[in-house]
Amino acid sequence: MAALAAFGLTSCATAAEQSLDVGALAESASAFQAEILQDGVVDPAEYERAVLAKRQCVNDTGATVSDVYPVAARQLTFDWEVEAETEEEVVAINNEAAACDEEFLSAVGVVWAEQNLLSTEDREKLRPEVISCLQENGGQISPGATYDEIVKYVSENIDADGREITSSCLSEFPEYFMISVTNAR
Amino acid sequence: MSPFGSIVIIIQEIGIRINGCFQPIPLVACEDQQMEGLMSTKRVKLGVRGLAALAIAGALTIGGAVAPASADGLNSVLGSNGTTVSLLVKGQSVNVSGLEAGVLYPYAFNTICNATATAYGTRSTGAAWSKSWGTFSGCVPTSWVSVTNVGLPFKSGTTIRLQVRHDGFINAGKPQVGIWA
Repeated sequence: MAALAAFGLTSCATAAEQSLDVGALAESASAFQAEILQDGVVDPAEYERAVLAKRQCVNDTGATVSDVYPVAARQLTFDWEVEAETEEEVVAINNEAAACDEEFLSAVGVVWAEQNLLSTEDREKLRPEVISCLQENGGQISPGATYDEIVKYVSENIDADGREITSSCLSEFPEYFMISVTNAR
Repeated sequence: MSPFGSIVIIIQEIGIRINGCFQPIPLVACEDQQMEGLMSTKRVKLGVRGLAALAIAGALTIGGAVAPASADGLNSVLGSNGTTVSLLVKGQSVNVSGLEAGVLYPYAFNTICNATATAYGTRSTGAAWSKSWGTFSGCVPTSWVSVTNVGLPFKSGTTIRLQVRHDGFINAGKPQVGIWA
């Protein structure tokens, strides 16, 4: 994916040393997004404009779009439903909708997400709530567990159906778990 | 009750444990394969016509089993790159109230980036339907979960199927849950 390819990664760089190369991202983005990214940052109005442009594009495919609503980490999103005579028609519309993301939001969204990652301090403030949530959902985790220990715990506690025992906490605190795209693996 | 009548079958879901994590294995696995960690027995109520249709479609052998029915069930299947993809359908009879999509890496710090869930189904009117939700930008380690409301009736004897697009591709894991009156 173009948005994920534009990192200034070197083979020896640690996660902390990596940074998002917005310029490279802009070069591979659509003209609409490149214009937003040209100054290296995405401001709230630009982000909202990108989300609304994508929504209009999805609407134009024939899908029924919801209102835009806020989700974690200061992100905006919307849902869409498609109804047609055949599943092939539905799939075709969804493929067009996926192209709307590439045209209007994918690169801008990545930069916006990067700009709105929790700081170390804010993540630390949220940690007790996340641990309480895990414990309330039956998780046997230490009150002093670190971020890495929490992530490891979640990955190792899977029920017989292959789901996280603690999935409700992942839904409730997504911003706690979000990490830089430069650490994508 | 299905207008076609119904039968009850038992599907023994098989899997292995990797680092303490249960991983379901498709039921097409070799009969003589030694598998550790037999876990869950699922009681699946299927209309006769629906069962025949699912068998023809291969739904009973792809990615595990079609999950429990009556618009209230869960199905988890193996997906791309070692992920498990799960679909939880909430509701009663043919009325689906909500959906939960999940993608899980059973290894800490593998990441899931830029995801969108899309569920496909057949409305009670016979129309083909989909809903897409959960779109986010950025990455999360290990697991991604997203829920949505639906509030619609679906055709008895059909399935709700999940597809998750993330990291620039569509995950090969496509769980499905049966809908039965």
